[in-house]
Parts: sequence; structure tokens; C-alpha cells
Amino acid sequence: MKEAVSLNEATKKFGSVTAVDHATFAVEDQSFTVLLGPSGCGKTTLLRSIAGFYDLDEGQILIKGRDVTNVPPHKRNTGMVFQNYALFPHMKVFDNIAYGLRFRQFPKAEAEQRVRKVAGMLGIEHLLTRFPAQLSGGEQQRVAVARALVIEPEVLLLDEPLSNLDAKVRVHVRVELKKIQQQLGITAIHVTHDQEEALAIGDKIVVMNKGQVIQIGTPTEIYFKPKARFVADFIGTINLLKATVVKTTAKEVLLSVGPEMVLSASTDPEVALSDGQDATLSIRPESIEISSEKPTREGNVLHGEVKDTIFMGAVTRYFVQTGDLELIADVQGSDVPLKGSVYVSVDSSKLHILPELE
Amino acid sequence: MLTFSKRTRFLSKDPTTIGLYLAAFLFMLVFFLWPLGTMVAASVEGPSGPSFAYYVDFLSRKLLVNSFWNSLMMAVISTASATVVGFLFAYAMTRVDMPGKRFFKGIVILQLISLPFTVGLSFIMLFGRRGLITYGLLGRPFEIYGWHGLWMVQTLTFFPLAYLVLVGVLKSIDPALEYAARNLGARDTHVFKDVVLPLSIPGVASAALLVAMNVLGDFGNPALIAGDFTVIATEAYMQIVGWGNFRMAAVLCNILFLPVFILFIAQKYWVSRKVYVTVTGAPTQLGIRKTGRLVKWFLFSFCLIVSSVIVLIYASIGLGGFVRTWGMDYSFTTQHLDYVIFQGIPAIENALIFSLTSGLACAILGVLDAYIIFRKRMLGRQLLDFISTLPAAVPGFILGIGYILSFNTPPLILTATPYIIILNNIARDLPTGFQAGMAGIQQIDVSIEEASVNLGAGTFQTLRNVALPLLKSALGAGFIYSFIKCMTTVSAVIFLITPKWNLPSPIILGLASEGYWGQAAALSAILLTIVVGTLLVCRAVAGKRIPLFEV
Repeated sequence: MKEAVSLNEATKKFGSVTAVDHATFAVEDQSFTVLLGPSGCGKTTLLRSIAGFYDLDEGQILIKGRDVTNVPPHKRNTGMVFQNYALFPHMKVFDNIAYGLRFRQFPKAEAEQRVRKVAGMLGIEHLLTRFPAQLSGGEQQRVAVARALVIEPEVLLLDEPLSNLDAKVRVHVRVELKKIQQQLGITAIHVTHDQEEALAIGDKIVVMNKGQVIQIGTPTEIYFKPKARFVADFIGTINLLKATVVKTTAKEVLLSVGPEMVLSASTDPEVALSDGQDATLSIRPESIEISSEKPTREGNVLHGEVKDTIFMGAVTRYFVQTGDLELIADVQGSDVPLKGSVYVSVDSSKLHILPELE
Repeated sequence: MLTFSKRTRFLSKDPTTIGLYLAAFLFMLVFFLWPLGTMVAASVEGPSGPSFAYYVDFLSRKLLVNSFWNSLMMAVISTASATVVGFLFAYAMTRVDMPGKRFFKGIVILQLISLPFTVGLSFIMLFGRRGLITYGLLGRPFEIYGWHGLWMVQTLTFFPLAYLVLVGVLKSIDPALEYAARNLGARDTHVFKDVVLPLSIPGVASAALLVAMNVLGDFGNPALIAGDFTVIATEAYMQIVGWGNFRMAAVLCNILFLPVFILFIAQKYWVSRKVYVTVTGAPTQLGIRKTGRLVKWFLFSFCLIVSSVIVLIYASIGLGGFVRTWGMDYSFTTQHLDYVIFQGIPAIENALIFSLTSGLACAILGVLDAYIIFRKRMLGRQLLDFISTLPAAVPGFILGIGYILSFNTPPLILTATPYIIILNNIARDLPTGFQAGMAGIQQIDVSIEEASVNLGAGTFQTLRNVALPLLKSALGAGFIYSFIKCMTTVSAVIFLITPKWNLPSPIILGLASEGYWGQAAALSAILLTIVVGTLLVCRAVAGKRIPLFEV
């Protein structure tokens, strides 16, 4: 694996607050990596440190193998797309895009050619003679991306660039962003607090909280196999059940979640467990099935009672009481929601064990 | 926080910032701190080492001690009255739907850009022993000279300063809060008492401190109208011009500087931090609420009366230039104008050249100064911020006396040159340019400059390509404000002018204190025409691009 950006114990403090706390991870070349976390988790600070706007207090940053920890921001060759786009209001779109080329000694003709090429790619050729104030939010965003791409940066840094767009445009633009990144084969680091966006766009997601990197993984890993309660909680809705390990085998783990309620989960080689240990079981609502008849499958079936239902469009959300537990289950379709006594079941591969118990 | 080594590491890569930074410090050190320091040194210099003999002498002289108390007393009463007038004006302009607002605002602006002693000069002409109103119309001699006359004059002179601060404060109070109070059942009086007033208290304090500093440091009006009521500013002048006693003048300056300095610290570090920031979700588009008729017409009458007096002031100055002998013979003449054209034109030319030069310098230095202070995290930036705003608080005559004490002897001899006047103007008006720069920089999102750096531009290129073009209007505003101030400045330059390098405002003050009303009025009228004309032309040309006195 080639690494485009590596962080080694990167730490940034503001006074007594540690904004980024010993972050260590590598961003693969040509990958789309998302820094995800709640506001104040240090994701933007980390991104800005990579760009060079903050000096680290400890640790190192390497871009394409070069130690840039002490390199001033204008010599790092990172292209950044700012949250508010930060277009130069006194320059036309063309000059905005061409700005970075001024410092890279391009002959005029070549610079113009490059600007036109990148503008063509983003579909903004017709805007080149306009001023930023005459553009819509989506158009401004494209100009900002074009301006960052035209310098052929070692890494493209995206600081919540979609947060100022309408919900519909946002979904459209993020698909486009990813497409461009893949087309050009460049490395992108994208900061967002929107978990749906992160799952949709990232090759890798770095989940951060309170300055620390909590988990790094692919979207499915992050979603279905959270390693910490924070990750499970932060991303989507999840059922977290207190459990005690009853028995572990090479294939499955049996856990007790209540009196006479034993569930089996597939063994995760990364999570070491011993019998009698307390653990937290996580189940996504859409992994739970509900039926009025007892399902034919063996194991992982609990009997319960529907307490409430919420119609949410594509799915119906059930709140089911089983023993002392309240489970949330999302069921697709169901025109007439089930009521009263039901059976809930879940595939053992959809059960995930968090070794910690909070 | 950056550690020291990190800061220096960062610095070594940014020659532009370090160059600007050192230049700013050096300038303020040589042309501001050194003169102040020399003055302190001069006051404690004895034949054999430091001595407080002059301070002891000061304490033993009743007249001088009195002048100190007089200065304080005048500051207290004038501040109170000017702040009240300023508040009523500001409240009327921001919260009341009344006719004539443009006129009232124009009056305030006129006062702000006028000669600092216009009111004093015209009050003698209107209400003096031979005043047009007191003696001419009412037929009775009236004693305007003294503390009461000075009080009225200072109130009218400085209420616009309070107004300027308070308008900003009142504008920033979201009218939605008043609607909310009303909605919860508060009556108009309660809305004012419970919402508007508490929210504007820090602003009122800020305005009051600003006025107090200016009253303490004012020289022109007391020189004209205080009579036997001596204040420190006029006594310091007398010590130099009358007795050649520079050391006692330095003592007086230091003694006055202390309260001014305390007020400055209070304003900059205490009151300004208490100003409420109204926390709101979304900005409201609600207009101002309808005021009760009684309040409305009371405020309207009040503004009208104050403004009428000011109109009268300028009318008397305009008229005074064309009557033979004010108070005795009101027949038409152009003899004063002839004098002014003969004597005043060279001085006006000087003023124009000096003001253009120092205005440009203040604008550029002020903006660069503000840029490095607000955009670069450097060691000592708070100190630079402090010494870049302090000159606004230092009374002109103090810095003027500091200049003659400092630049009369090697290593830097500047006395009797035009440079000493220009440099003094720059040092005094740097806060004006700095303020404009600061306001401009706060309008620019930091990320715009970061984008430039991210794309490969260093500090110098970012400054040239991005920051300065976006700060054009700040530069313009800084230039125009400092130009106007330099055109009318009197208290500092009165010590620095020579017959060759003379300026109109000290000439006017001299003429007026000798009783040459006609000539003083004629020259004032010409100077005011130039200043007002400049402002009007700039407003017309720049339009909305340069916000000038948006009061």
C-alpha cells in the first residue's frame, strides 16, 4: 500500500484543550478518506494541520513520504476546498482558478489551458468570466473544487464542502466529487459530521471523538462492526444490549442478554473474549426481522410485544419489548403494521460484539 | 499557544511579516514612545540625577493644582452632559421614526469633522460680551467666559463622539428583543428600562470614557473660552509660551496623562469587553417599533433645538467673515477675506500637503498594522495593538510638547521642518487608519487568505493579491478620516509650527484669542469649506464602496 499522507502521533493543543490527540494513521494513495465525528472532535483541526494552517505541538505529518511538519502552508502543495469556499470575491472565476498556477511558474498559455480543462471537467466553462458573487452555491462549490484541483495537489483537502448546499444538491454533488476523485486518481481527505455522507462517499472512514481517532475502517466495517460504543452510537440508530459471554467457539459466541435470552453471534477474530465476560452487543435496526408467526430458523429468536410504531417512509420503525429489553427494528414495506405479540429474530452474522461495557 | 521556539521557527520563514512587524514597532518607538518618554524624563531631570523638585513645585502652586482639579471637574460634567445628549440623539436616530433624520445626522457629522474649537469661537461671537445674541438682540452683556461657558461648549463639541459609539451599540440591539418584551406584556417604559437601557450600558460607559479623554485633552476651547477657569492644557501651553518653562510643562503633561491613561485602559480592556453580543438564531427583519407620540415629539424637539444651535454656530462663522467688526459694526466687508487670501493661503497649502501625506501614511500603515496584528500570531502583538491605539488617547498638546523636547537635539533634529509636523500627524492619527484597517479586516473571512496561502502564495503575495485589494475601501476610509483630522488639528501642531511652516488652525486660534473675529471666522469658513467639500466629493465619488460616517 502506498501512503499519500501519514500522521505520526500528531498532536495539536489550543491552550489547555487538546484538539488532536496523538493521531496516528495513514491515508492510502488515490483513496477517498473521510474524517468523521461530532463538532469539536478535532477533525477540522487535523485537516488544517495537514494543510499547514496549524503547527503541531507534537508528532509528524508526511505527505508522499516527505516530512512537512515544518513546511509552511504555501509550500505543501495541498489543495483545499473550504467550507465557505473562500473564493476571492474581487477576482473572476477564471482568475480564481488560475491563482495557484501563478506561483508555479506556468507559461500563460499552458495555465489557461489547464484552467479550461479543469473547468470543462466540472462543467463550469460558461462561468469563467463571472464574479463569485454572481454564482449559485453549487456553482461556487465547483469553482472552489476546480481551483484546488488545477494545481494538481498531492492531496485534496475537503473541509465540509457540502454543508452549505441544499439537501438534494448535496447528494448529487457528493457522487460527482467521488467520481472526479476516481477519474483523476488523486487522494482526497474529506471532513464531515454527516455520517450518511461519510458512508456514501468514503473508501475509508476515520471516526474521531474528543481529539482521538476512535476507529478506522471501510464504511461497512464502521457501520456493522463498530469497535467502540461511541462509533456505534454516533453512526445511525443502533440497539446496544448488555450481555454476558456464555460460551465461545471457533464459529460462534453465545451471549446471555437476559433471563433465558441467549443470542449467538459470529466469532470476530479481532475481538478476544472469555467465558463469563461482560460485553455490549450491537444490532442495527434493519438487521432485526419481525413476524407474527414463530420463524423457522433456529436460535436468535425472541418473543416480545410491539409497544409503538413510527412510519418513516421507506421503513416502519418498531419498538418491541422483550423481557427487560426494548429493541428498535426497521422493517421495509409493511402497509399494515403488526401489533401485539410478535417474534423478533436476527441473523448471527448481524450481531456484533463490543468488548467494552459502558 | 505556540511556544517561543515555534514562533521563531515560523518567523524565520516569513520575512514579510517580520519586516512589517519590526517597521511598525520601530516607527511607534521613535515617533510615539520616545517623545512620551522624553517628557517623563524631562520632568524628573535635576542638576544632579533624578529629582522631583518640579513636582514639589507644582504642588506648591495653587493655580496649577487648581487647574488640575478644574480639568477633572470639567471632564466629569461635560462627559455627563455630552453622553446624555449623544444618547438621546442616538436613540432618536435608531429607534424613533421621526422627520428630519438626515438633517440631524448631517449636523452630527459636521461637528465631527469640524475644527475642534469651532463651538468655542462662535460662542464668543454669539453669547460673549459683545455677542450677537446676548448683546445685540437681548441687549445685555453676558459673561460666557468661565466654567459654565466651557461646559456648554464641550457638551456641544463632544456629544457627537458619544453619539457615534452609541449609535453602533443601539443598532446592534436586535429590535426583536423589544418586540419580545412587548409580547410578554411590558409597557414602553419597561421595554426601555428593562431591555434597551441595560443592553446599552456598556456602550454608554465606553462612550463616556471616550468623551472624558477628549475633554481632558482639549486645548482649543479652553484657550478661547475658559477665562479664569484654568485647565492643565492651557497652563502647559502658558508654561512654554509664556515662561519657557519646559520642565513644568512636562510635569503638567504627565499629571494629566495619568487620568487619561487610566480612562484609556478602562475603555480598551474593561468596558469594551462587556459589550453584549446579542445571541440570536436568525437575523430578524423587523423594523423599529412605533414609539409613543410624546416620546417621539420630545426627542424631535430636543434634536431640533441642539441642531439649531449648531446651525447658528456655523452661520455665525460664515457671517463673521463678512462683517466689519463683529459686535460693533455689522456692515459688509471683504477685508477679512483679503487678509485670509494673503496670509491664509500659504498655510492652507501647507495643511493640504501635510494632510495628504500623513493621511496616506496613516491609511497604509494603519491597514498593514491591523493586518499583522489580526492575522499573524506573533509574540508581542498585544503590545503592538496597545501602542497602535494609545495615540488616540494621548492629548495632542502632550505629544506636541514631547516632540519639541525630543527632536530639538541630536540624534534626530526635526524642529522647524515640515517633517516634524507630518510625523506628529501620522503618529497621532495612526489609530484612525488602524481602526479602519481593523474594521476592514474583520469583514474578510480568514479562509479567503488561507485559500491563497494554500494555493502557494506567501505572505507578501497574499497581501498584495488578496488582502490589500479587498481592503481598498478600508484604505480609502482610513485616508479620508485621517486627512480630515490633520486638516483641522491644532493642539499638537501649535508647538511645532514655524512662520514658514504654518497651519490654518493654529492661526485661527491665535487670531481668535487676540479678538480678530472677522479674520478668524473667514479663515475658519474657508478651512471648513475645504473639509466638508472633501467629504462630500469623496462620498459622491466612492458612494457605497467606502463607508464614510454611516451614522
